[in-house]
Amino acid sequence: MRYTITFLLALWVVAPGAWSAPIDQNLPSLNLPAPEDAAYRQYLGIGDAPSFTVADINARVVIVEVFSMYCPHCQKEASVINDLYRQISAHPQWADQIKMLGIGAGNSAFEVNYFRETYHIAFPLIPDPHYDIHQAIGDVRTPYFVVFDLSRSGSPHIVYSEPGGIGSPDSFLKTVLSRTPLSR
Amino acid sequence: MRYIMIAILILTTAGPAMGLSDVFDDKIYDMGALKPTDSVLKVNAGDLAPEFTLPAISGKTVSLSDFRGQKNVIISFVPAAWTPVCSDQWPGYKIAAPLFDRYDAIVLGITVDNLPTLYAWTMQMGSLGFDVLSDFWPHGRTAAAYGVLRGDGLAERAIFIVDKSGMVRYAHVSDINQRPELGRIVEALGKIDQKQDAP
Repeated sequence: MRYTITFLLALWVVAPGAWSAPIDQNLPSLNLPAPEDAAYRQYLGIGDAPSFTVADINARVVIVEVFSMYCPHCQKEASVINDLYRQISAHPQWADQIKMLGIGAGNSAFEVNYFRETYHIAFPLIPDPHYDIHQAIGDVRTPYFVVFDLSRSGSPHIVYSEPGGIGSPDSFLKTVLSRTPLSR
Repeated sequence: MRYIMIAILILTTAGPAMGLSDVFDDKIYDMGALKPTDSVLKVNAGDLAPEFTLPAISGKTVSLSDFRGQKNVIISFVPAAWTPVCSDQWPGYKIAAPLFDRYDAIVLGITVDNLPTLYAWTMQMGSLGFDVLSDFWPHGRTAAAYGVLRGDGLAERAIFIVDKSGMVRYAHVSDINQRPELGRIVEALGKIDQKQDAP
């Protein structure tokens, strides 16, 4: 009985931590390569610096998708993400307050650009050709979504961190915005 | 009972499987880091590509010469089904098809796995849009002819581009642990004279 209790306690304490990626610790402070396109830099509000962190983005909420051009689910999810972007861009309040960013895990600039062109992705996508960013945030599966609340003081606060698709854009926005001060 | 619980505890803390895409869930077998290359290339640009005839998951038997005079052929050897990088490579060629079409090129995927294994694996990836061939028996004979059969029986991660005359125009063996970059393949296709005549 003693061993059973010990085991269950250890499982409850250790297992979730073992499976969770260090996204909370690493992604907010990671230096990310700035998009080459000035329009994307302007969208993010990061100026002309060659690199930036999530905290530098001029927004109150940042939605990050870790994807791969080679990932079948990411390919299928592209139209859903585009709908999400359109919904945000069309909203009078959200357009300036919610920004989106994609990180192409293991993808070169060519591959990221091809994915962008194929699926008409309108928000910035940055390449991570050597998996540096991907490894720093814990080798997550793709697609993987992280949502940051930048409205609080201090480091960006993660309000959503999940693998897989987002379901419907509407329900996704409802979920994540309910966790931020940004009202619908 | 104590040892079973310890085993379960260890398994739950061992970390997730290595397959990158969520589509494979926990079905990917992690072979760990392999020796980057383990073969001697026998074919180079300018050589006549070794002919092969292999069974395909489409049910057909496919020969390289089937495409002579018609298509440039991108031969993609990958090491094994249900392994991380391989499972993460071919789905990209599916969406790259329009790009390959611009250069009148098709893809043939080849591994040393048997047909049932290849069928199950490629179905998990969804429709790839190109045929996948089994170099299972005689084991790796085609891979060996190209000089990409490793000492462990796997094929290398290699790309060959064969033009419509049957000549090899690009031959590259990648680090088996890394996916070949698409831009390099497209660059190589761009160098092929599209006005080549059939022999």
